This record gives sequence, C-alpha cells and structure tokens, in this order.
Amino acid sequence: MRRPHPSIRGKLIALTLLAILAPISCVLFIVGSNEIRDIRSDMVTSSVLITSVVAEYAAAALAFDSRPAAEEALQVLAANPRFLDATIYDRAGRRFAAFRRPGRTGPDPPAVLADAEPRSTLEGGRITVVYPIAQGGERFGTMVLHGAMAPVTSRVHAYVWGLWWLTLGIIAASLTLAWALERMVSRRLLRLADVARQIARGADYSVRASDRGHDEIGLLAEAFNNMLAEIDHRQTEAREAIRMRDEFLSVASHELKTPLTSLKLRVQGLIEHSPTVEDPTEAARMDKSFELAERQVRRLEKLVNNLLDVSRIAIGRFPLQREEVDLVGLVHNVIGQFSAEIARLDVEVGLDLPEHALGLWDPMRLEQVVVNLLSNALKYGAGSPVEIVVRIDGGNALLIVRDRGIGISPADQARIFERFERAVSLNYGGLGLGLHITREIVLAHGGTIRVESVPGEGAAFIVELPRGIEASEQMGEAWTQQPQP
Amino acid sequence: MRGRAGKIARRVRRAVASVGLVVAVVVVVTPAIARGGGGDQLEYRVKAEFVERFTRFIEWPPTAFAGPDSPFVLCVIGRTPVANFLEALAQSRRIKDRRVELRRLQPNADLSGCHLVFIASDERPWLKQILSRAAGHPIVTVADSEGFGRAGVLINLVVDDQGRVRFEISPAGAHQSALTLNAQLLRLSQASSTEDVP
Repeated sequence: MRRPHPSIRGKLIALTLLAILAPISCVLFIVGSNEIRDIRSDMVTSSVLITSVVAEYAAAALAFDSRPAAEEALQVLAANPRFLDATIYDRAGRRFAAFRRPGRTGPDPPAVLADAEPRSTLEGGRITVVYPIAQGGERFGTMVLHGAMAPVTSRVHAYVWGLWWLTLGIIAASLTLAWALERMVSRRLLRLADVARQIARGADYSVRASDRGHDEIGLLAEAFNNMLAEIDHRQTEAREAIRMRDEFLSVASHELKTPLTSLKLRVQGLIEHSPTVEDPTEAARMDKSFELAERQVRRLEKLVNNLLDVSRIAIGRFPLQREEVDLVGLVHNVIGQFSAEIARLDVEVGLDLPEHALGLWDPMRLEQVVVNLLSNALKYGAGSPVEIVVRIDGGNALLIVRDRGIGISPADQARIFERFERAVSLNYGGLGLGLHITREIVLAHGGTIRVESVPGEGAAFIVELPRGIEASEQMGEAWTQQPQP
Repeated sequence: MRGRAGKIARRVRRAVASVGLVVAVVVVVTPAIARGGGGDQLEYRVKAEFVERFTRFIEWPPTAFAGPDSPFVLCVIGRTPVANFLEALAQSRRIKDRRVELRRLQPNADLSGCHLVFIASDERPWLKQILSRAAGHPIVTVADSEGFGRAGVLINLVVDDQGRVRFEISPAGAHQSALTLNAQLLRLSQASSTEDVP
C-alpha cells in the first residue's frame, strides 16, 4: 500500500513540537537570561557593597597604621564562602593587610595598583571589585576583593538541564499526541482510502467503510457508504434494465421472425406462381409490386436477423460454424449481391485482391462482415469510389474496405462499434447494429477490427483475421504460387 | 536584591559593633619609630600627622565655621616640638577643604575661634582652665601627655613601650561636645578611663 508522504502523523508531530517547544523555549530563555542577569547584577551589587563597608571600616586602621584592625575588618568576609580573598593596599601600593579563605587553592590574585579606579569586573567565573579606601576626602589606600560566581554557574546549569528535560518531555508528549491524533484521523483516512482502492480494483460496490465515528471523518465515511449504496443500487437497476432490454430484444426478434418467414415464403410463392395477366401494362405493374414486396421483405428480414444476432451476442450464444472459406471468392460474391445497388449509385468499386485467401472461418458470418462493411462504405461514401483490399500476411488475412466519404471524427471512432451507435445522425437509416455485429463476429474469430479515418476524407475499416489451421495456410501459399490466368 | 544587600551590610555592621567600641585596645604601629631611626623629631612629625588625620574622622557642626571661605584654625597652647610640624602642615595641606591657619596662644587666650587645640605638656597647671574655656564649643582638644586624657582632653597621644604612637579618646568628651567622631576612630582608641590621674 502506498504511504502518504509527508504523513499526517509527521506533520502533527512537527506542528506540535513547533507549537509547544518554540514559545516555551522563548519564555524559558527570556526568564532564564533575565534571572541569570539579575543574579549576576545582584552578586556584583552585594560584592561592591560589602567591599565598600569593609573599606570604610579599614579606613581608620589604614590611616593610623593598624594592621590588626585592618585584618579584623577583613575577617567579616569569612562569613560568606563566596568571597575568596581580599587585600588592602596602602597609599604607596604596598600590601597592608589580606584575607585569604582557608583551603583556597590556585594562584595569588594579581596585584592591583593602589590608586586604581573603583570598578567591578566579571571574568573567568570570578568577580573582582576594586574599591578606594578614603575618609574625609583623603585617599588612604585601595581594597581588592575576589569572589566566586559559582551560584550563577550552577543556576545556568540548572536552567540548561531544565530546558533539556522539558524538551524531552515535550517531544514525548507530542509523539503521544501525534499517535493519538493519528489513531483519530490518519489511520481512519487510510482505511477509507483502502476501501476506495478495493472498489476501484474489483468494481464491487457491496463493500463498505467500517468507520463508525461521529466526527468529520465519520461523516465522510458515512457519505462514502451512502454513495456506494447509491452506486450499487443504480448499477443493479441498470443491469436489470439491460437484462430486460436484451430479453425483450430476444423475444421480439424471435416473434418477428416467425411471421416474417411465412410472409417471405408467400411472397416468393406469389412471384413464382403469379397469375397470368393478359394486359401487359397490368402485368408490368404487378411484377413491379411483387419485386417491391420481396425487396422490403428482404430488408425486414435483414433487420430482424440483425436484432436476433445482437440478442445472441448479448446473451453470449454466438456459435461459429467454421469451414474452409476463400475470402476473395466471398468478396466477389458479395459484390455480385450489391451489383444492382452499385449500378444505381454509380459508384466505382476498386478491387485489390489476391487469387485466393483461404481460412477456417464461418462463411455466413464472414459474409455478414463483408456485407456490413461494403454497405456502410456505399451508404456513407456519398457516391465516392470504394476500394476493397485483401492481403495475406503470414497467418493472418487482411481485409480493408475504404471509402472517400464523410469520414469519422476521432471521438466517434471510439464508439461506432458499440450497440445502437452511429457516427452520424438519423439522416441515414438502420439501427446502428451493423458495426457492432461485425466487430463481434471478428472477435469471435479471434481477429481485430479498427478504423482509420480523417473527417471529410473518408474512412478505412481494417479487419485482421487469423487464418486458422496450418493446412489451410500451406494451401493458401500453394494457391498464391499459381500463375495468374 | 536590595533586601539581600541590606542584610549583608547589617551583618557586617553587627559583627564590627560586637567587638565593642570603647574597650578595644588597638596598638597603633609606627615602624619607623619602633626602629628608633630619626629620634624624637620623627615622633613629633608622626604626632602632627596624626593630628591632621584625626580631622578626617571627626565632623564639626556647620556653625563652627564663620563662612564657606573661613579657615580651619589649628591652635597650639604652650611650647611643643609638634607645633613646628603643625606649622609646616598648615602651609601645605587643606583640612575640610579649607586652608589651615595655625595660632600659637597663651594659656589664658580665648579659644572660641579654634577648631582643634593642641595642649603642650607644660600647660598642666592651667589644663583645667583651658578645658573649661573649650567646653561648650565644637573644639577638639589634643595632647601628648600622661594623664591629660583622664583630665578631660578628648584625644591624648601616647607612646607605648615599643615606641609606637597610640591615642586615647575620652568617650565622655566625645559625647558631650557637638562633634561627631567616626566609630572606627573610637575603635582604634585606647580607653582613657583606665588611666590614673597624675
């Protein structure tokens, strides 16, 4: 089964991730960076503040040269482990007093000029505060404090970890959500598509979509099922109508055939045993009437036979009586039958025939094919020349009947072989069964029929028939090798 | 944020205050004196320097000065080598962002224009009168003689066994006058109440 790409599930996962992760990440990033900035600025502020306080207390100690007092003031820093070390420099830049956290490792802090400007810097995870020691407008020295930024670092780590776990959680949640949505949407749609595919494959309108939901997809499935039921119903109706028509056709053609046969015999009997009339004018009038009656009976018989054939084709009873037939002889025979009409229409019939074209065919049916094609060519040829060609092509015999008449448009070419179809309208008589029966006969012989036509330039019907048994082929070759008379 | 910083500052102040203001004895070291180099002249120079530094840690009320341009007046009563160093200091330094004027006064002189009075040791007989004239005025009295602190001089400079200059502050004097003394100065001082009256 073909998988949709990209699938609804993929889209759902992507959308859910985007919809949840993007805003939460933004919010977390903003809140986190604000928080970290606050902590940093908080640490800087508190470091500067405590430095200023210690510097204030150390001012007198520095002014009156008391190291113990300065060291005592620095001891305040011991209370907070964040402060790593602090140094007090005198006015000359000499180290006056210092505090160093016990157990603190690493190199001594770099010396800072005693007259350095007050400042605070964050560098390498450490905060450095330089603060002047002054009193009453007099600068006595400088204090330098180093503090750790560990709380900021650990807070950043906490945020990064939080973000990581949140992302994992959201991915899991969106996968679950997408799975649930897929169950609700995607899978059901695929099942529906499956049903449609099954119907397309088997033309079985009795299958139904099994979705029982009450949501949009449920409604779609319901509409789908309703549509299937309607199609099924209509197809059954259509089949029934066709069956009834075929049955009617069969009954009607059989019913027509019986009185027609009797009528034909009576007309033939009348012609053969016509009463002797003395008056020549009256005799001629009677002869003409008999002739007309016989022609109309024949025409009627042909129509009824066509109907009978069609009904046989429809119910699949179309047996062939195969025997050895010469297609060329058959063509000559048919032209003989049409000689009166050809003369009446003053149509030139060109023949391109070999000596013989033998095959195992049903002679009656094959004659029907030639008759139908020739009568069509005469009918639609509009007085233009008609050409009949027979060729032997290996195991096949080729029959081409070409006219220079009105031709057939490409759209009509596809349907003229169907029942009751005609390329042109009712200006021309007939039931539109001739080409249908022709095709069915050709198909029953295992052959093919096609039409080549350019509208306005005429049409060529090309029949290709397998010649049947090998013996007949050899015989055909033997005949074709005979010298021309 | 401000609350946390305030808490830290309070903790620092409490730790410092707990040490005690008056009882603390801070040894003020003057290495040059301890080594003995330069003799007495260095001692007097350090004392004069201390006098100047005291002014950094003491606030006078605004009424103590006649105007914004009036000088900071250093008065010396009696004969002391410190006076010469104070003289040099008055010419080169500014105190409270004012020029410094040095006055050498007789023991019976009026002290009302003085901001700081240095009382030499030879003024011991008139000490009580001098102090009574200074009382009620924002005047810092400084001396460098045994027992002067006990007698009521606000700051008394002393030299300890190791030759270091130290100072004592009389807390009573600090509270009585209109002057404001920096707490750190008080911490560094030696309690003068423990001294004997000569």
